[in-house]
Amino acid sequence: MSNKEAAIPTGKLVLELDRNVQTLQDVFTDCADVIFRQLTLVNGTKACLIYIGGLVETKELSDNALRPFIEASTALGDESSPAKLLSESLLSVPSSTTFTRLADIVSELTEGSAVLLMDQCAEAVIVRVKGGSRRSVEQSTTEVSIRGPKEAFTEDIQKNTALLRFKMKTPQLKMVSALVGEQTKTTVYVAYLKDVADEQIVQKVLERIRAIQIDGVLESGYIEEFIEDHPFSPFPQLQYTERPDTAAAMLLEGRVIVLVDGTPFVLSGPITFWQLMHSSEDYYERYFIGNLLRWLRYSFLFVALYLPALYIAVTTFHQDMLPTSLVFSIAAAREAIPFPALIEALIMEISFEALREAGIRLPKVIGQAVSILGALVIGQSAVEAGIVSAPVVIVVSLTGIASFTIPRFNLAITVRMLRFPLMLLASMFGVYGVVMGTVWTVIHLCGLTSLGVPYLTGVAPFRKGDQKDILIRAPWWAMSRRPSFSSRNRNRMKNGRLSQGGDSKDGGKSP
Amino acid sequence: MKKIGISIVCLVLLAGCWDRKEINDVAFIVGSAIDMEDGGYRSTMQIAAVGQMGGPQGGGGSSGSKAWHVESAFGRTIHTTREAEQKHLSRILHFSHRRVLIVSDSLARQGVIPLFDSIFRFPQNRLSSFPLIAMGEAKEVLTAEAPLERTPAEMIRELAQMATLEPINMRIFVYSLLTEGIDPIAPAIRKIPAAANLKKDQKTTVELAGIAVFKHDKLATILEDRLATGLLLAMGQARNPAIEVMVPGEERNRRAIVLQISKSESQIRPKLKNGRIEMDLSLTMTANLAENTSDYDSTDYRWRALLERAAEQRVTRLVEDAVAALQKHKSDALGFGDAVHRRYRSHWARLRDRWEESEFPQIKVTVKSDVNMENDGALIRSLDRKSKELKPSS
Repeated sequence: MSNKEAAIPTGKLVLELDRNVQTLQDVFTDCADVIFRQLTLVNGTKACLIYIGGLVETKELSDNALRPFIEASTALGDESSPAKLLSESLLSVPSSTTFTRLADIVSELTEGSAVLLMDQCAEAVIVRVKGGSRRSVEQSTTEVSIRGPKEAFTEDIQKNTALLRFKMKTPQLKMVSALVGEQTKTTVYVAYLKDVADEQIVQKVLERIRAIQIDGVLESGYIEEFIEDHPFSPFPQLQYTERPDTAAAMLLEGRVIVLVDGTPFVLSGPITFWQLMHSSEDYYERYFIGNLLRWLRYSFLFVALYLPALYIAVTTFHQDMLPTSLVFSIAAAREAIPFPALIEALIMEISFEALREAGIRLPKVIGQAVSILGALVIGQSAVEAGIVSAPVVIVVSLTGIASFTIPRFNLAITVRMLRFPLMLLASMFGVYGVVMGTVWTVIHLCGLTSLGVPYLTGVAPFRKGDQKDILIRAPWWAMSRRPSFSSRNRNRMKNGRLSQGGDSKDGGKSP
Repeated sequence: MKKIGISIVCLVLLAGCWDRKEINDVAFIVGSAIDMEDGGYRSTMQIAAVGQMGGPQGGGGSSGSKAWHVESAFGRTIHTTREAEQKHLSRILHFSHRRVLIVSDSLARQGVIPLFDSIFRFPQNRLSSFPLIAMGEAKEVLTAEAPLERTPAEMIRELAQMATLEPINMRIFVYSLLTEGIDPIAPAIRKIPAAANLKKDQKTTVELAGIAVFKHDKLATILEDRLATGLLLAMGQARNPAIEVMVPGEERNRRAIVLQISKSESQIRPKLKNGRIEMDLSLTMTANLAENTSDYDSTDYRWRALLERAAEQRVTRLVEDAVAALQKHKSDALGFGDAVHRRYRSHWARLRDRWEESEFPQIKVTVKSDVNMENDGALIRSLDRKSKELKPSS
């Protein structure tokens, strides 16, 4: 707290320009990017324009603020409050105001406004010409879909809110702002759809965000860790997305969105476990394939979680479980392997994880070469050298593929992590251990909440209406109700009735 | 956290599941054979030599060395043979993949219950494995080369599956052993040279020799060839048997016609006549013409009717002979006793004790068969032959 008081000056502007400029120069000592432009107006008054280079739109500043200011300076001479006149009627910029407190001026400067100071005037004109170059709206790279909008959020929160507004043209879309981070002063918006979202959840999110005490927020992950219900759980309790359409879908289902300036990833909650297994394309393609893909993903979730553990359990405890020919094949492959099945599986699993980690770091050009080298060459030669057996390579690569079918990366990480304790349990207790691990996990999941909503809502606690969008994806015309946890206004369709395509009077038959 | 810690400790200490064994420390037994030896049993076990089964280099298995290994041990009981066996094996014996259990015929004549007792107590054994009777020494069968399969046991298993329509596994065998009024049967096998007239490079293989019929748990006899076919036909268990029929009216020429039975059903109906039990055995079967070496036109319906009658006679003969053999050896493999038990409960109570010994061998059995020819094959007429007109007299 003490260094904060030292950095931000208290007090107000004085009449003398030189003293004001000196104060601000003291605040911004060793800040080479802060520009102090000395001006002398036509009537001889001295003035100073202060801004941070790169944060302002310089063309707009010079055309719409600087020129009118210099030209109109004759009119200012005998004005009692020249700053107010300037801000209200002379400068042709969209947003402008006046401030006298130094703290306000400093914070405006850091947010990208230009400040005009005049001699014999104790007010500063704030010209909000925020600009500077930031990435424009581009295609989503982390959540790719074949069908569906391609645009993704950017680092600029203003662009992000605009992307949301493009989709939701309603004043019911509310965005409450908060400032987080002593140093970064990051803007955070909590967005929700009024009359659809649960007000209590909105308040809970806002309270938790406002209670955050941290020097800086660089990514929505910071916020996520502060506002989640169970910080010690391996399971993600908030979903993130960089797709505006996914965010809009969240809003329409009554969820709360948290937008953080400086990151394209917005948070949403409350979420359920099932939702993490759904992809946006489930809803965009026709429901047949949506259903099939969903079942495929659920079954591969089990593969990703259990396959190595089951391999270990079956080959070291339950050899009688396998068909005879298969048990002989596995035994033949393992004949020359010096390690127990657990070590063998761990070697492969860990090298696969390392390969994945290395693939992220490596430049794109080499990345591919390394993954081919790693996957093919190391796998093949490890088998040939008799370090690991071929079935383990199959198991590990199948597991790797399976973990990529999980549409949400944060859930995929959890599954990847949980695989290892399950493998250990399997190597000690066989299938019994795997079952124990599952029981623990399920107990944990049953107790988990996301912003107060049970994690397994729909299944436990069972909600009949939610079944249409958990294991199956009902056709859109049949999903007339929103998920049960958006407590208010659950009817998605007018009068909550089924409305199927075609002419409703003749039952959908075309003439 | 404390609770989780305690539960982990409990799991480790209380589970008692420390029976971990790596798959390459296990000797998988694929088949075993039991022979009699002075004062005990010699148990021969065929163990899959998985190392020879094509490892990482994925060879074909034609490397010369066999993918199986045979060991034997002597013991006073079946379980002690297992103990003795383990003493000269570097890997732990594992029985859950045993497919076949072969008992020599001489041993089986003394009863199989003492042999099977330990098998049913030991949970690794599967009831889906097949009991078989070896003609001669059982251990010999296990050393046949059986070049087509990975192990001889695998071949024997396939044979056991083919012997009857519903394969007789341990469960079915024991079920009929325990049911009053049915005696079990099992396929009988023996080792033969693969090609009888080949001098060089002679290999041995296993042959399905017949059906072993039991009197309670003791082997009564082994029915071979036509007796076995008759028995299986009577049971409705024959797997597409071929019935050879002499051409009606041309028996002297020894021109045969072969009918392949595609579907057969048998029904046993006991009758109580003047206080005596009689049996009606009726068979209904559908046949296809498989081979016609005569000159007759198989599309002629009159001739076909004659052929069907001749086939019926033939089937009836087969079944009658098989039943007579069963009666002679006092083995109620067809379950006549069970049929009486179901139909005439009170009468059965009086019969039960003397059924096998005096009643069953005496009862009159009437066999009726009905053959229906459905398909005479793709050929309209026999190749390159002028078809004969049917003589009105025959």
